[in-house]
Amino acid sequence: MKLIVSSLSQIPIYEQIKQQIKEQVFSGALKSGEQLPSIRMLAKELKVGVITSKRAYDDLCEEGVLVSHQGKGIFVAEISAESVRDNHLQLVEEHLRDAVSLAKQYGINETEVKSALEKIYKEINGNERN
Amino acid sequence: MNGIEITNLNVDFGKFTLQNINLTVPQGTVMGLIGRNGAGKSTLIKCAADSCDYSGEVKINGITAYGDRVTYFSQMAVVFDELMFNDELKVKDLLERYEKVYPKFDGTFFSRYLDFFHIERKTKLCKLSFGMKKKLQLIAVMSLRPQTLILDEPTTGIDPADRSEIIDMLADFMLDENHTVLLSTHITSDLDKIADYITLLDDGKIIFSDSKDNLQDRYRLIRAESGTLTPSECEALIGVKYSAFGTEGLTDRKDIYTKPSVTAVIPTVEEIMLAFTERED
Repeated sequence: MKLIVSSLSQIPIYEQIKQQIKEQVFSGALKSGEQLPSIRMLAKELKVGVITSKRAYDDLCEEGVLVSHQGKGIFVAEISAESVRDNHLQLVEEHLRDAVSLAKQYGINETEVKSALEKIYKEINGNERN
Repeated sequence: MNGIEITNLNVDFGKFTLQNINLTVPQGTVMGLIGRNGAGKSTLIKCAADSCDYSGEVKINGITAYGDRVTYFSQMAVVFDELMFNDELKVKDLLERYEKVYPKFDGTFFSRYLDFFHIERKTKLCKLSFGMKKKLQLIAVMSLRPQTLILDEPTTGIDPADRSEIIDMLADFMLDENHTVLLSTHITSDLDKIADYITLLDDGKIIFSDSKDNLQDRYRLIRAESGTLTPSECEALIGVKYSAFGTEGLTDRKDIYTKPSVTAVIPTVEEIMLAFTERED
């Protein structure tokens, strides 16, 4: 499992760990049932505090991305194709939200945003055909 | 059980004081002790090592130095800032001495790290660089296989490469959930990484003692253009500074740091410390 964290980022370290593990799980880089390093191994490898690595794992267990088996360790949970799709949809929605927020800030209205979206799709579909 | 538990610690040496220190380091975690020069960090470390007089109680893994002295010292190891070796000794002489004096000394562990750091056994200690000497000190005490490490400025005064290796050693030490570390340091960037808890000392008193995650969840370093904040909001900022560019300070007030005209960032350990110890110069 490849993780890169920076103590200088504006994203808290536990959040960076969570995001990267989630990405790898949902992209299939980390497979269902695969074992992850222990909380302490992770802390040592990333040179972070154990509270931080524990928090990342605890949150991911709560979110159903990872599962902890008492005595055995931490594993990637069984992720259905449906929840992968849900997760991807959620990510797209977040980006759209950012765009809408920005549009609002600049005083660009809903109609203009929707036609911009149509324009983008026309372009992409046009390029794909060519 | 707590790795280190300090209760009502008081010290008064005139220039060096500690007042009502209450501190807990849970077993299996790392606590960084920060503060300006003269804040009392080294004094606190000395108390934990039982090498100065104090009133109050220091427990390491539940044991006090007065309760069971042998066990107290057998399960912990201290490294002070001053290098403690006779410089004329060769590395291998040091190894021999430790093997003779300390029954728990792990010669294999010591040798492995010597090789890892390319420290030659026939070298005289006075010929080692400052960074090498500090590494050697740490290797020596870790070879005693303590449960608890108490370190005064373990990475201060050495270059980034050596510092990184010392942090690696501490990270390795923490693989064992029964191990605990208390370290005082000026190098707060090291704490940004491996510390679980941060305690700030100022003028012999604890200003705060909390998990690093809590501190960074709670506080934001903010900058606002002049006139954006009300006078009472400015006053509420910790370590507030006024400049031509506006007002800057630390705050845990969401109503201040989420104001649209305010830039808010997660503070580093150093920024938190500077804000809390900001003085009118």
